[in-house]
Amino acid sequence: MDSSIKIRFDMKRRNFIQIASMGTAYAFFGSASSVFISSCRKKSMMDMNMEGVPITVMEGNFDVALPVPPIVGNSVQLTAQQTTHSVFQSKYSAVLGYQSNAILGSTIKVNSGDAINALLQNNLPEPTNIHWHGLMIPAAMDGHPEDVISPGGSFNYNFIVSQRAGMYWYHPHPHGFTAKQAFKGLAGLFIVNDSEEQGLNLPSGNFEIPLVIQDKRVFPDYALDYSPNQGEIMSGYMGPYVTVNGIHSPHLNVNKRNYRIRVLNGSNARIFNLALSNGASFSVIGSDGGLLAVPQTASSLLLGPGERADLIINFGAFSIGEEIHLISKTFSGGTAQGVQEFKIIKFNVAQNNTDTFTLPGVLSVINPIPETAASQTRTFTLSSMNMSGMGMGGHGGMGMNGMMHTINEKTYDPDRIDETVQAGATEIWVFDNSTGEEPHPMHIHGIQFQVLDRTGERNTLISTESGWKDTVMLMPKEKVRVIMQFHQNKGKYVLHCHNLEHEDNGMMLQFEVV
Amino acid sequence: MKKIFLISVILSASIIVNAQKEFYFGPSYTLGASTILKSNGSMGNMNGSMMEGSEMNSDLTFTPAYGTGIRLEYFPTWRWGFFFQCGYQQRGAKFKNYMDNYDPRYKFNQCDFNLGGQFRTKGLIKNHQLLVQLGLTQHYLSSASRIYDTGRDNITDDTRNYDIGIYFGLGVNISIMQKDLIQIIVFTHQGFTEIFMGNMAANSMNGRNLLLGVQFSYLIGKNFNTGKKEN
Repeated sequence: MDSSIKIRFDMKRRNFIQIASMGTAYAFFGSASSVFISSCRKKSMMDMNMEGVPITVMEGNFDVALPVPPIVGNSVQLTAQQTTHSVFQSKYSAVLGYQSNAILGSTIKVNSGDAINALLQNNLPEPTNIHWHGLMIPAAMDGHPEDVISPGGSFNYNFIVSQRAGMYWYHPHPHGFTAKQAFKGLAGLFIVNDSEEQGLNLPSGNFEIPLVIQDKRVFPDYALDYSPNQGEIMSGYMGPYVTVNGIHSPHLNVNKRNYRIRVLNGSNARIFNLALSNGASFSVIGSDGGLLAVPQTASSLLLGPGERADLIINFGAFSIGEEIHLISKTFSGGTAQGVQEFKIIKFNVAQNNTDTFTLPGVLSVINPIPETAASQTRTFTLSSMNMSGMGMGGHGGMGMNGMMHTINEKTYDPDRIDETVQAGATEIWVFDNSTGEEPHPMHIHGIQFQVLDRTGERNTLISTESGWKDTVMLMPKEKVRVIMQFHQNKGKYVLHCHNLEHEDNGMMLQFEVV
Repeated sequence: MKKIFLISVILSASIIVNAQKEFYFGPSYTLGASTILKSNGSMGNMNGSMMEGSEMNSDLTFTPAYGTGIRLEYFPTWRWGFFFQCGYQQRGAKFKNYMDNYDPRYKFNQCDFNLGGQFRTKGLIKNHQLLVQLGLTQHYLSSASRIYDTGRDNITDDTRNYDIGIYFGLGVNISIMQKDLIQIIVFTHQGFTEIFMGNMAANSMNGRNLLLGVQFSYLIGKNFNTGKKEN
């Protein structure tokens, strides 16, 4: 027996093997290239299809009880991490959270004047940070898009809350990652109390309900799907599943009494036109920056991404056993939004309750800032431009066909100061979406402003805009003027569209308070 | 797992050491389609009662698969023999009818070990042969991801890292240059193991690997037998 294996390669065999190898390589690379070509073809089809196309909302059964995020005080540790959460009943979704097994961070509840100590640990494989949306705090603590925490790092946010009561919120703001991280679950409420609000004896405890309304998209295996195509970078990324406090299609059993319902639109791009399904009206008592001067009665309320509304709903006016949904009604807002009416959460009127609450006629004192106090007026024109070849944009490049959303024909550049503002100055800022085709919720960091007027399409202010604001909705063909007095916190801040795909795509400018 | 691997190695070594008649080895390449065969209808089906209003039915379907490896064959008799193959295999499954204009898919990178027996006919035309192969296949998962149009998520923690299955193949040996073979086999791998675990399993997802493909091998032959082949 020949125990040694001697294999002789003659030239013919060698040649054959070479040819076979080349053929095999061709087969592999050929198939790979065909997949690539087909995927490219698919992308261009997506671009054509996704521009401004609404994402149909899919309602659920409303058989899951509404969870309320846990409340913590002025000292908190937030660990940004990949975790799981039941967005759908009995299903587990891969999400991002500030703690394990939760999609939203704890609600930070403090009093005006409290010192905050929030440690952010970044356990994500990418940079993150926290922007304290609506808080007037030093620039170094504001969560500027360039002040990021590297993977594995941490940062201690220390600041003093020196503003009035209101429901503010926190979310990531690293340029290019904001939309993805917020969509996948990184957000939380920041509620400030003060003595003025305390004196009103508004419904509290079990009768004060925060609602963080968001829309989500999930893969068929229930993991959250954040994968905007080029068209969705232009229109904003929306999902078919509307969640409240991280749960799809929940319900809340309510008593026959007044409830304080505090709503945050925490969606990336979806606008809600809030109303009650039975057509009943409700009272709007607060806005982004806290209480309004007087309650406003409304039967619907438009709430853009980043905006908040403080509502009093009198369930005492309804019958026991009645089911009322908070819905989003149709509205006119570009091609991708407002075409569908859908339910968000169901309220079951479950039992009687003694309710001595009476809504005060006056809630707070808001002194209008006189226009004559303004030392300067700045105009910010919102538009879309073809920026092909300019290499701009943080959100994986440009949108469709090289299109980008711009402010004053500029996209975000961290090395450029777009506006310089004197500390203590009063200014009027004009957001001009006159030529725009899409809604833009404009947000200014580190300040609260008053809305002076809106001209164009709606040509009026809505109830929440009678109070302090940090985010204001501009529908297509609208122009809005806001007035504000800059505080003494000096440093770099940003203003941007709070459609987070627009923001990551560069619809953001930088201003410095000096 | 380790035992099967060990047995495979020992058997292969034994085949080499105790080679008596014909021995072949060479590279092999597979092209095919894989999916995850459901154990029930729940996987990826978004038409459940919870999802009322949904018109989606994102069940799984086939996705392209490919692999490469080294194949050893030993025939102690003219008709009956053994084969052993190890190498890389990429497989997965694709969701169909997803809400977007793209279909997300699972991609599993695996190391496969196939071991089994085979029967070959005598040459039908010249020395070319027909083959029937049956064996066991063992997959070791190196990574698993969910791939979509703009990125991928690592789902290795939700996917079992081993799988045992059955291998069945039908093919031809095309004899060239007297001793060598071009082997073309139409084959199937069917895994026995529930591949989902963790969150996926908790979400009622279940299924087993299925791979259908064609394997091309160039097998370099060595005939140790001084006797005559059957004709």
